[in-house]
Amino acid sequence: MTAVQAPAERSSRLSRAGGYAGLLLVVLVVALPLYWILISSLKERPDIYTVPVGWFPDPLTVDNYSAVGSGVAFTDYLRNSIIITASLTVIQVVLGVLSAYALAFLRFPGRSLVLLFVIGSLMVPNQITVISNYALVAQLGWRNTFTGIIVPLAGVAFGTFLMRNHFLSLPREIIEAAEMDAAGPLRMLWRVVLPMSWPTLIAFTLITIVNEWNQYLWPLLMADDASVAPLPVGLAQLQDTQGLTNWGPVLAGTVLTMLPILLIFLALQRHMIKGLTAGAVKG
Amino acid sequence: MAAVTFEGATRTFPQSDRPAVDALDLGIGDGEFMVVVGPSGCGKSTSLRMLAGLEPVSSGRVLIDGVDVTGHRPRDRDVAMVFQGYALYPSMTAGENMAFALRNLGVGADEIRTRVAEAARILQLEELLDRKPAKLSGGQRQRVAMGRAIVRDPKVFCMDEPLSNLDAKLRVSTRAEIAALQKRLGTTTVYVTHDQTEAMTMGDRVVVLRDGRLQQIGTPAELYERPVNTFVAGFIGSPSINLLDRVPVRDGRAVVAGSLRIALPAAGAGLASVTVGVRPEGVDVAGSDPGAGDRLTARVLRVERTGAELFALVEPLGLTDGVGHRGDHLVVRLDKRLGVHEGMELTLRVHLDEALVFDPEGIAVR
Repeated sequence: MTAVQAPAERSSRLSRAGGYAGLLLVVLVVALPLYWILISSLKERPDIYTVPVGWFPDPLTVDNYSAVGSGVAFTDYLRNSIIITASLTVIQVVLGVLSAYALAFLRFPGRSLVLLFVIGSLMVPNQITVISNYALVAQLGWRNTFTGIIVPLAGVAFGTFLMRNHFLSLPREIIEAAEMDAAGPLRMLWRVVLPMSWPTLIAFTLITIVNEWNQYLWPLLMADDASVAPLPVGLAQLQDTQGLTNWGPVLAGTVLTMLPILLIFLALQRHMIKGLTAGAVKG
Repeated sequence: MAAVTFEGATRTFPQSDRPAVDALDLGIGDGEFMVVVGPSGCGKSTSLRMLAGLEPVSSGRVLIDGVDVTGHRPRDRDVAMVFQGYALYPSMTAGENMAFALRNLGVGADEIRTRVAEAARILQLEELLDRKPAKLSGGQRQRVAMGRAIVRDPKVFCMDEPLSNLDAKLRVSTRAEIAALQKRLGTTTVYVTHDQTEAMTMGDRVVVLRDGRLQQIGTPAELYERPVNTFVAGFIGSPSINLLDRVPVRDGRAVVAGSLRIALPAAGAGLASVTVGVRPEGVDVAGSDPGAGDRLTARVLRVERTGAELFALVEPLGLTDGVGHRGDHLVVRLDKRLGVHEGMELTLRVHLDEALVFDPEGIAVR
């Protein structure tokens, strides 16, 4: 017996090969710079600059990592980053979910106007509001404080929008069933709506964490020293002191900055699965 | 338990100039099983949702037990609803689904346990209480949805096509179970369906709606035997009634054909033409006698056997000039032992006392 391939089968194999080629290209574009950062952080200082480039650190060294700590107050920056990111994430997720709930389920006058306002604020680039925010915060005496960094960043237009749209996609009948079952707003949110929303909520949380962890411009303007500045600001300082001649510690610092986010991402991403409404409606 | 009254209840959706439910007046007795039936878009679900409080009432009132609940929130109406898609909470087990409302209402834990166990026993769900909806079959989900309604022991059950997602066989058995359960609990029930068989078999009384307007309220037998108009006559009954339009009236009789003359009721005096309705089972194959103005000849176009029954799709012959029938053919139910076959010419005897007469506007003449 000879295996005969149908033309459709052959072309699907071809398109699959094309798909993999595309994937490979994207992975290279994303992964190559990351790989470069990693190996350079493990190289000795002269090896970073050699041409042709070495794709493996030889000899391998962790000196750059100890140099990070001596160059700047790395642990202070790390602490600040954790404080800022954690507060902002909690605030934004709570505010985002509550405001989205109101916009999706409660009937009140001016609801669509509020939504329009929220979406409108998404369209204003942050850079535009920086100057007025700075003036206001400086006036309040919040410069070089966590309050000054956190409060202006705590707006949640994107999260509100994302969660609202998700809430609207939930089966209407279930919300009505909960209404008939005398569930109050908080119980409805906690026992009925959120259990069907974890994947979206986790995605929203993850985006917020990454976003706030990487905040640079505003903290740079607000913070004067390592008492409140987060890691990205610290990295920039490290680059100022070392970078022009010594990239090793800067790249090592970059790797250390990325690491917590990477771990959080790996821990959370498996919860971002679909199918939480299975069995809710219809048979 | 309670009586339910709709008083001119109207619902007009925003961006619509025509009301979805138009001045509905309807009284449902204490403990009654009322079926609301009609084609899709007739406003039957909207009526039910107005009763449940899920849909605002544009004008008019809804009363439960004599209390005007028009502006009340759903939770304050003591009404339980069974949704078409069941709407079970996916994150809760069957037992938690049933207990949710009681918990929200602040019922004590022991009381909740007793009532859920009782409902589970009635619905044979005892083994399934710890399962989540995703692990239940369609029929089991339907029973959990019923259980969620009955544990509350509400004044009124609202059911919105609760059987439409079940397969045909399960639908027939569940139909009987729901009707029996309602009798046993004695709770006032409003049941919405588009399926006239469900309406005929389940309801104490049936309401027929069309385009948001009430057509007729009555027992299933009344709707079937004395429909108020051609719409109700056509909607109730399967296969549907045969309607013959533009039948001329001579000497107080509707002359369908030379051999078929139907006496008009007194109220029909003065009509020049009428519409005549004949149910598929209102006809027999005639003997060889000449008959008494109750004969109609017809040619068999097709024969449909359902096993127990035989329906012949026939083309009537010798109709009076101008008389037309709706649809391509008439349907008659015949004795399956007669050996009727395609192309055969039959002489039919119409049971004159069962024939229905409507005026040209489609309103019943009695």
